Amino acid sequence: MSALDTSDQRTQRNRNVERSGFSNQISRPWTLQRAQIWSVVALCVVAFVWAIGRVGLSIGGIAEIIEGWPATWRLLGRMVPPFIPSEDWDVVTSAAFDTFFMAFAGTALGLVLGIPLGLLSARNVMPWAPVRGLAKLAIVFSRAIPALVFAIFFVRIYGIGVLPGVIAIGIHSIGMIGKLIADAAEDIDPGPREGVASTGAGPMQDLSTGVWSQMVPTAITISLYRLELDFRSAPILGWVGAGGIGVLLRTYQGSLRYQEMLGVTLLIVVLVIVLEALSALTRHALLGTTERLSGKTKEAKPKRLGSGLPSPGTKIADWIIDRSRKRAALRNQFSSRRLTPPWTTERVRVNAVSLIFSLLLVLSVIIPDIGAKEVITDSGNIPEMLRRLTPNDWSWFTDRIVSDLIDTLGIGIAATGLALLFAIPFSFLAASNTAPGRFVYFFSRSFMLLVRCAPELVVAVIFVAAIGPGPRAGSLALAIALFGFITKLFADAIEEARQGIRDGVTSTGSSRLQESTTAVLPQVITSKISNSMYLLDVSVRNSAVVGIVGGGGIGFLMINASRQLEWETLGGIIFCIFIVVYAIELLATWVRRKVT
Amino acid sequence: MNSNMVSLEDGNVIVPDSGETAVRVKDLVKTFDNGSVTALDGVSFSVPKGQLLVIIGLSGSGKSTLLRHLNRLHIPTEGSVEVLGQDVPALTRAELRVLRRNIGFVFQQFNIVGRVTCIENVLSGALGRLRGPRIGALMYPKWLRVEAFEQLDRVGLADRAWQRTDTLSGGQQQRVAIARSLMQKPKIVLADEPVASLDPEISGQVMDLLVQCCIEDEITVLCSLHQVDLALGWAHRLIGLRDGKVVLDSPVDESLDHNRVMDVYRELDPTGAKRDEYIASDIDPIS
Repeated sequence: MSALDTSDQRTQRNRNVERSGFSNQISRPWTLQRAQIWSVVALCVVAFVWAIGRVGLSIGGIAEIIEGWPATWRLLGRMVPPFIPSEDWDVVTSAAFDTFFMAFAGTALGLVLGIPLGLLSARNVMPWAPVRGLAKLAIVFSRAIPALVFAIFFVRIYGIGVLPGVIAIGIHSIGMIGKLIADAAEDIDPGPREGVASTGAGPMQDLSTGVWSQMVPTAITISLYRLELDFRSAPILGWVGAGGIGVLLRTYQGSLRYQEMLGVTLLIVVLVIVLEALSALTRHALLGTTERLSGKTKEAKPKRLGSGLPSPGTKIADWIIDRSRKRAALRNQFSSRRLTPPWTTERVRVNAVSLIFSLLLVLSVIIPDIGAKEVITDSGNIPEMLRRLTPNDWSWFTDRIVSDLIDTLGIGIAATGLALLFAIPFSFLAASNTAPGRFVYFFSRSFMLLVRCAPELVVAVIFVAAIGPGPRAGSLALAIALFGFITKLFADAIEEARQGIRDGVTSTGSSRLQESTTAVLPQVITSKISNSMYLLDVSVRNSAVVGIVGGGGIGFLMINASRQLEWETLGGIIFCIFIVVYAIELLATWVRRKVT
Repeated sequence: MNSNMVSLEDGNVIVPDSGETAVRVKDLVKTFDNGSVTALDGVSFSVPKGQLLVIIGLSGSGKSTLLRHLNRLHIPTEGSVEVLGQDVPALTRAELRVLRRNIGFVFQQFNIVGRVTCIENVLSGALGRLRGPRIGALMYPKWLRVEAFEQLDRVGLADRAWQRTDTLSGGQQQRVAIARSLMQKPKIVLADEPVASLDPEISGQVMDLLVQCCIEDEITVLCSLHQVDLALGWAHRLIGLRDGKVVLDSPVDESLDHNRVMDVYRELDPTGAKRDEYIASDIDPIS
């Protein structure tokens, strides 16, 4: 039937509809859930429009940007070609190493503290509710406060250097690690635990054999994911004095050496790309083959390492073999079987990775020169500092703080909205099953990878330099970083969409676009909404600190308070950030639960 | 047929003089959801040591619930449960651990950790004898590893010891679970439909293996089963449950009327047509 019907045909059809008896049923009934969803959608749109205006990116604001383009262009021109002067190379390399080890040690600290806290907050592990509540509180707090804020605090305690960076990363990492570990623990199959309990195992044995042994792959994934995130947040911590390459970024920006600034930025991006690749390799080495073997049909005979090699044939080797045979014969009949796991390639790989990681951990204490003495002596100042940070009255709570908090919220929402606006169409190009061609797919994926590897706050530094400080630069920088992050999540979700449903729609004679909207979108919409809410969560958290580098919002007041030693103001602002971020997180969780 | 034979007299089981009692359940009632669902409704029976007891009944008749009371995976709403001379609901945690060590439990869903090696799963059967948490087979002492190999050898899987358990077939995984139970050196084995998720051929093999090992180790067995025919070759005694009540309690001998066995499953077949089919087939419970 042609899409262009005559008006006669249309009236005829309408008459048929009325006669059919279904005319009162042809629109979907308004259920409470549907009403809720649509009001949330409407609210989101209103919030986005408001936020765009607030951060100065409405039509007038964009006109301003275009007007100021020649100036921006000149500034950008001063950044190229990026270069790092040879006399600074030593400093830059050592700062890069510091950054790496800072992130590494920080993640390790986060794991050491976060895994027990996570298990303590899991309903099926910790039956005692008060303990669970306390553990959850610690997790929520450390998640809501950005690492950069922790860094400001710990720099005041331990002084400028790598140590406050390590602790800041560690404390902030607890939150995410703890939450994901708790989720993973609550998700385990209770069957094997019953099996273990039935053997008469005690509570700690139950935890190790019944719970933990099921969680190992998830725990590895969580650790590596956290490590990647920390590699991204570490480079900026130097901005507030917490060691690493961020110090140089701040120095170059302060002395208006834009070429060097871009050089360091690119170096950071390259570093993050390399580390991400390493992390992917590690994940593959630890989980890649083993987890895929869990399919039941595959009879995987462990391949012995070196089983194909000819025997050495020397006298010594023969003697060793002979001796070991004699020994074996002396033991009971079962000692001919090995009582230790065979050295399969898999075991070698896992042990090698563990060894490398332990070595890196040792190095990360030695190379950045973290003094155990400082840790012990200066940690005594923490209670005193916390006391100073606690406001006695409301004098710190000025109008400026309120308006900056609203700015922060505006930046977070605007950045999320802008990122989504571009990510939703773009993700279809970056998913292998919906991309119009291999070239487009490849290009989109590489572009995304590049964008994703530029840490938000580092991008913000560039934007502030290019279009001047203020919420506009902050939201644009965040939007770009978030765009890379969310497009990957979306594209991955699209790639997981079931082919069968798409075939069903294609076989009705639909076009490519129709197929994407009818068959793919409904399958991925819940995960898209859920991911978008997560994005908002991340975005608001970042918008709270983007002001530290000049990107607008509450961050500017915070770093000022810290510089001028106004402790009560700093404490008050941290508290406000916690409230705002936590409120957004609760909202995001509520919406995610509604849609899934 | 067997010296441990018990006979039914006015509904009471007479325990042979020679044997002690392994399990004694009296007026056991279990309700779920604040009493809205009654899973067990006044179940009483006792099992002498060394007896091989099979519990039959429809799905939802309370077989699993009954077995899970014996090692306190469930706590009774009313009534008493006595296992190996101990009042199970009243045990302290430490005493419960000791009791559980003496009771092997074989689950329908195997309940082994799929992603660790077979030997580690078998070794976890020794946890009751050890102190402290264990991660990985190497954290168990060598002599226990030898013992685990012996048990794996009994179920014919010693050559798979270092293989991931989830790479094995269902029947093999259940054999690993059996080896884990034997590793406990139990006095009683509770088997909750151990072969319900396996195909008929493998079911027979696994069931034979379980019973053979238990007879060798002089273990009392309480096994819930769907397939009556699998039980008749070796069971000393049948208990039939329906709606949480004992409707059949009989030794497996001439006195066992096969219509009574089929009666346990009555609801499955309200018209009775299937029952004739059963009778016509060569399944003969009076063998």
